[in-house]
Amino acid sequence: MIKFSRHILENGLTVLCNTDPGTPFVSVNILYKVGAKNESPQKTGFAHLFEHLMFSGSVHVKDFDREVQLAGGDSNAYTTNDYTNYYITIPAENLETALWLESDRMLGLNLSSQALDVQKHVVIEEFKQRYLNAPYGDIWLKLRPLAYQVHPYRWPTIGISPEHIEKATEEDVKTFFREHYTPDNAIVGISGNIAEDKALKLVQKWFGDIPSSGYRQPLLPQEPTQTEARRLVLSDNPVPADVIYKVYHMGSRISENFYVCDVISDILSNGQSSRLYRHLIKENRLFSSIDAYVTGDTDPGLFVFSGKLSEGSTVEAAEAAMEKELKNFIETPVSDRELQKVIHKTEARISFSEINYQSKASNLAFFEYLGDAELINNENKKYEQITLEKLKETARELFRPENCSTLIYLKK
Amino acid sequence: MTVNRKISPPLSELSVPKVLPYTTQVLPNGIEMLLLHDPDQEVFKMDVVFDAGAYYQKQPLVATTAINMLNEGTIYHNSAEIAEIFDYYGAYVDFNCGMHKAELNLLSLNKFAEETIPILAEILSSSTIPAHELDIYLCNKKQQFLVEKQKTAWLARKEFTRLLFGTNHPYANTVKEEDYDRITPEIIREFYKERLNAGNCFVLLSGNITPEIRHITTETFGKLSRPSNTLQTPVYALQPALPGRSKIEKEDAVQTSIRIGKKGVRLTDEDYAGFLLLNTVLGGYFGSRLMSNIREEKGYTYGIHSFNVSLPETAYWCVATDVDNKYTEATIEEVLKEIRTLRSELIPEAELNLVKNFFHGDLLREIDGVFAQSDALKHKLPYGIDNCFYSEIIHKIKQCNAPYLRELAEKYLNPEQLYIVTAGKHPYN
Repeated sequence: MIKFSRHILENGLTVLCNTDPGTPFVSVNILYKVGAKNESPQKTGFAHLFEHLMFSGSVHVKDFDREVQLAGGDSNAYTTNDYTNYYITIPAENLETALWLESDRMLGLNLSSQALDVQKHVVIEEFKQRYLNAPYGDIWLKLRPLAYQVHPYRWPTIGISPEHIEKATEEDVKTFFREHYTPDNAIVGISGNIAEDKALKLVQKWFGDIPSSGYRQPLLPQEPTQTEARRLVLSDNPVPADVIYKVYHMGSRISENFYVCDVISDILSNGQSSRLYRHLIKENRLFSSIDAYVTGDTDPGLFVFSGKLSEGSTVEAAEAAMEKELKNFIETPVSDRELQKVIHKTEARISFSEINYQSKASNLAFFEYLGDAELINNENKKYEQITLEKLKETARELFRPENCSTLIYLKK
Repeated sequence: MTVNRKISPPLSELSVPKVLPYTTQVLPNGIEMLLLHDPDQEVFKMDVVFDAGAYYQKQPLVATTAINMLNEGTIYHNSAEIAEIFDYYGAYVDFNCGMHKAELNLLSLNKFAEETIPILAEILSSSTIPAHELDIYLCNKKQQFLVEKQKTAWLARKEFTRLLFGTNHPYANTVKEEDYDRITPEIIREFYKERLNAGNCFVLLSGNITPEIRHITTETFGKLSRPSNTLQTPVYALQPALPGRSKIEKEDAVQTSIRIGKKGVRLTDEDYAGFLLLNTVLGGYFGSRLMSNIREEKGYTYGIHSFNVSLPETAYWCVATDVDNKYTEATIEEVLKEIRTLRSELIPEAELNLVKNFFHGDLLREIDGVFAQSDALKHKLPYGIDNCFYSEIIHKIKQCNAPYLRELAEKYLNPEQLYIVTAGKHPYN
């Protein structure tokens, strides 16, 4: 159970505070409600490039990192398809420095064309390092546009190609900042060695006078229901083993469907006692690794299977075995013990995540973004309410062939 | 309320580390047990640490295979049953194999300690290393190895350790594909019997260590038979190669991985604190000279950093980065330039002050919370020290001045002693 306070400042900034006396640090986490899904299809990768630019200096701060480090702090950020998240962990006595820095870059950036140019290079090298120079690194670049034809989830946060990143202009940066980087489009989560009311007062002090824009994001095109199975085979890849991906459309992160799908994925592949691990890795040895998981996106997401074939297995046999597991899931009832196991695992996972003040600060902001920070304390209940009947019904609806996109990634 | 944004809010002096005291207890059979207690947790962690790392194996892969096979079957439970018990109680079991130490880790909810701890003791005392499970493990690991081999970073690391330590030393990574076929159940069972037993380990408990958990541990681990330890510690000679450039060609590489380094400074050496500070200036944090120059000014890479690794018998220091093939030579040139600057010029006062603060904060982060402290303690104990080390190192860092750091750069960062390894596509070959 995480105790926290929640306030909305006059300019629309939402502030969540939690006190954790077990650490000498405070984490200041700011989530901006903008991600890769808000990009123009002609300039993908921009939200992430922009995240890099947020470290290039603001109205009154020449060198962001320098100030963080001088205060004994550490800072980083990440961009997802749904949002962009920044955090500073700092010794509690220097909390105001973090608030000064974060509020100043919400107030305005001080961007040079040189900084834009350099960060484009850095991001293009990131593209190469993570997606092009890594075995299997390009799979999601191909899989997303197979599973999504309309919704902007069809591109990854890094963007469709390095050429898109090249195209970004200073004007794009200014517009993006003006529209999205405003107090009413942001959530501050604070956790650490600071009293809740004191933290709130300081946030009010540093962020209270930043004007909001009132900008409303245009509605995103929603993905139409998939009506037939899709399949893409990519051959001749410089990898040692074939890989199969199967993805199915499912509900959004806050839907009831998400929790049911999450439990299905746990029963299938969480831990060495899970069904896929036992059957496909240990018993028939068709796969050397296999995973089932849910993406947890704010718009309807994906249920993902990925499996790497063992030496000597054929794609036909491996794929048939994967499908048989799904059929089996629908036809043979899940046992009470299997369900109880997942409930225990979830309980443990939540307990472990509550240890860390950093994850508390980011989770508070994330759950508030989903609709209500109180979800952080209610998730356990949502899992406990799931019935065996619900699992079966959901699996039947989910694992229809016409809801599936399959990607076969073959070795040379 | 108006605020003055032009200047930074006043900074406070960073706190001294709060090192949690640990207690030591000897179980009835002689196993040493260390306890780091934090009543605010509802979970606990148990680490069982053995002198059974790669250093002690007679051929590659034996040590890591042996520890990883512990949950694949005992006299009482098969692999599926063991997995079922840990999973059912939401516990995480993990195996680690380092150069000298091998570890068994359990993270569990307090309320299930009675179910999870006994199984951990059982896999330690009664494993059978079933041949069939071993075969599955090795096939899958071999495939992972083949994936790793595709990475330029892996190729560069391997060549770098070969140059530093020589192929005959266990610190060098010499694993080949064929090594996976040379492992037999007998070899693993022998290593298990010799090294992974109650006579060759200590137990570290951290988190909410209630009397009940201590009791369960005593009733399980405290009753294991403990063979008298007459094991010989092998002796290896370090055989470093001559310094200089080494190129590993990978035709289809999009980027080249660069490793530049040499012998480093050991944790117990007098200059350790100062050298870490010097390393931080060069490449040990986001605002470092290497990051500022090579990433933030030139955009050659997504990241470049340097680090010092202390090992019981030696230490090494290394700069690591991945760059576009066309920037390889320019990047090496810039790294050397930054090293030369450290050897010839004094670090400006403002920069030194900043790095001291960052490093101080970083050390506090390293021991923030009971589980971080137990990890830190585990890595200090083999050197005969504990987490009081953190207070000492912070004190030493505060004393470091620019002339001393320049001396250290001259002493430890001689460009003529560097190994420069590049793995990727070399355009001008």
